[in-house]
Order: sequence, then structure tokens, then C-alpha cells
Amino acid sequence: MRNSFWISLFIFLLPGCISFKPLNLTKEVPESVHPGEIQPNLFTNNGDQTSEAIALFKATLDIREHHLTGLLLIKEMADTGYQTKSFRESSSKVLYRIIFTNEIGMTFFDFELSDDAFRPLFCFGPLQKKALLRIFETDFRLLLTTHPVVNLCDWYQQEDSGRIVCNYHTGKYNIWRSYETGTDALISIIGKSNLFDRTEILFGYGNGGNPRNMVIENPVIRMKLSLKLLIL
Amino acid sequence: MHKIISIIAFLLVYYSGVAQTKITDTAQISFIRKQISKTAMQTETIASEFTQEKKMSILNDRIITTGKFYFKKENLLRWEYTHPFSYIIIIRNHEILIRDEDQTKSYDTQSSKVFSEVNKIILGSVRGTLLYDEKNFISSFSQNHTSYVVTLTPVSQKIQESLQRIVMFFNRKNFTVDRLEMHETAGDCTIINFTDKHINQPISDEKFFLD
Repeated sequence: MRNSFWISLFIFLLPGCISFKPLNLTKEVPESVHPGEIQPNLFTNNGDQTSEAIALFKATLDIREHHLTGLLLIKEMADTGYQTKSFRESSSKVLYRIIFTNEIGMTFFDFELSDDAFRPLFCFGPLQKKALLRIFETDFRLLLTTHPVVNLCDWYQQEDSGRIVCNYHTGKYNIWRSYETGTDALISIIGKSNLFDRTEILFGYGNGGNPRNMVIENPVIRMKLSLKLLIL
Repeated sequence: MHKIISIIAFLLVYYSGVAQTKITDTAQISFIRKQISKTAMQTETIASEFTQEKKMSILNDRIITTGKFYFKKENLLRWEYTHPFSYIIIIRNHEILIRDEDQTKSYDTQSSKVFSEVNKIILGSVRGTLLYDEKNFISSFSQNHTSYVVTLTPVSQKIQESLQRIVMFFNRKNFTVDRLEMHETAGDCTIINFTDKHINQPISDEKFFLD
């Protein structure tokens, strides 16, 4: 009985313990191949300061046996010129609202996120667990607020794919970002701050430079948020 | 002068249709409830187009989606979004089928009491029968030129966390639901308008399966 408990715990924690560093990395790539932009433009205003900066996604959230679907909206509330900053400048403070509603308009969650705060404004009962909210915070921080600073990054190149990979720490997070060589498109973000909140974000691109699809996965708790851009 | 009077008269007529007057007469309320119940019992099928608007306080514009809705007694519902995305939800008794673009999944609502409750609200709202759920909602009545309006205020704490009130607009002629408003506790609102309704026309059972 005791053995089966420890075995179950080990199996549960195993995904968090496995190294999440991308494989086959060579070190010290020249600065000339570093990507030029921080991360893709998700928002509709394309940096236009006079209009709303929003991204609307068709969303599905799978947590174990539960499946939630609807629309997920991300709105950038503060205008800082963030979208036009180059890779080498540090990020400025912005405020994001992240709202997930079902098809008939009932809200699953409504979060407010800034560089130094995460506030759940509303959360549907079954999702209102402290540990789960911390994981949501990690997910959206990695997507929106944890920007690499070039002189604090370690640079690598992946031998098999040729992708450029940077590793950096920001706050409590250890983050790996992979970029496609040539296009500088951000392909993935992998990060975590502890055993439980390991997050993997994969970006998919259509025609043009902006991501059309994203998958945010938390393997330890078997949660997956799939996003398909509806408005840009 | 005549022009001004005409404009004022037009505005009075217009706003008398839009504005709602509360109904307090118990006999009238009883009549409306009976008619809604009678319609619900006599309604075997509903096929309709719908337009859904989501108003959010943080957005200047509304999010608008359109689609088709099918209902067949007792608990078969097909909610199909056609624009701006393709998405189908089928509720078939305790089973939910979802087709999201080219992916199909099925779920058993009985595995989760909460999701089972959400589905009850969806089915009860589109049929209008939610007003009889007195365990979870208090109802109040009003009317305008075209509709009898029933406002449902949740008494259940769990539902109150999500919904402040549901407003159902029943067509005065046939007592079917023309419009639904879901007002959330946080202040956002979803409005669903049903148009091109066909009542009691044959709907094949195949409509409630996914290929």
C-alpha cells in the first residue's frame, strides 16, 4: 500500500523532473544569428496606439477528463509601444486581461496580468484551485510577460533542426525559447519555476508573420489549452 | 409643427414597444406561465437561425457569432456555429458531442455535476422551461409590444457565481423564445436572437449525431 503511494507520486511528478532543456544543443552561436524581435505580434492593432490591442481565439481547454470550449480573449490594456521594441530593449510594463468564455457567453475565467501581479477577477468553480491558478499564471506569463534580455541569455543552436535557442532566467522562471533560423519565427517557449508548473508553448504559423495557432501544455497536470486565432 | 408632433408620436410608439412594463397581476402571470408550459409541451421540434452577441466591458466592439439551432424532444439539441468558426455541440441526453473544425469528441455530463447543471441551463433557456426551475431561480415578469419578458434571478450560490440573471423574451403570438440574455455577475452580457424559426417541422434524428 505504501509502496503504491510512492510509485503513484513518482509517476505523477515524473514529467516535472525530466529535463525540459531542448536536445542536441551546441553552445556559443554568433550574435549575428540572434533573432531580431522579442516575440510574435498577437494583437490586432499591430502596434497602432490609437486602437484596441486584442487577440481573440477559438479555445479548447482539456484538464484530465474535463473539456471546456469557447472563446479566449487577450487584451493589452496599457500602451507602451511594446510591439515595436527590438530584441535588445527591456520590456515595459503592460497590463493584460485574459478572458475565457464558453459558447453561450458564460465566463470560465477572467485574469488580469502585469509584470508584477496576477489577479483572478473571476474563476469558474471547478477551476478555482490555488495550484491551478498558479499554473495559469505561469502559462500566461510565459506567453506575454517574460521577455528575454539579450545580455542575460545563453545562446545555442540545435544540431538537428538548426534552430536558435536561448535560455534565460527571469524572476523565478527558467525559460528556453526556440526560433526558426532564417525567418526568426518563435517556435516554442518552455519554462517552469517548480516541479509542477512546467509549461510548453508551441506556435503555429499560417501565411504571414503572425502565429495563427498556439498550444499551451502543462504535462505534469495533464492540461492543454489550444488556441486558434480568430481576429487579427 | 406637424413635423414635430409626428416625430414625438413616432418616438412614443417606438419606445412603448421597446420599453418593458412590469406585470404584477397574478392572473396575467398565471396565464403567461400556462401558455409557456403548453407551448413547451406541444413543441416537438424547433429549428432556427441565431445571432449571438457577446458584450464585454473591456471591449469597444461586440463579439458576434452566428449559427443554427435544432431542438427535438425531449433532450436533443444541436447548436451549430457557422461564422466566424465552424463548431457543433450536440447534447443528447447525458452525452455531449463536439465537432471542432475536423476534430470530434464525446463526453458524459454525468461525470461532472457542474457541467450537467450548465447543460440543464442551456436546454432550459432555449426551450423556455427554465422558468419552472424554482429551486434555482426566482422569476419576474414584464412585457413589451412584441414579447412577454421573464427575468430569472438565480438563488443557487453556484449559479450566482457565474450568472447575475437570465432574461427570456417569449413571442406574444406563439410563446416560443425569441431572445435570450445571459447577464454575468461581472457585468458582461451575451444576447442570443433566434430568427427564421420553424416549429414542429420534421427533424431527422441524424441531425443529433456527428458523422
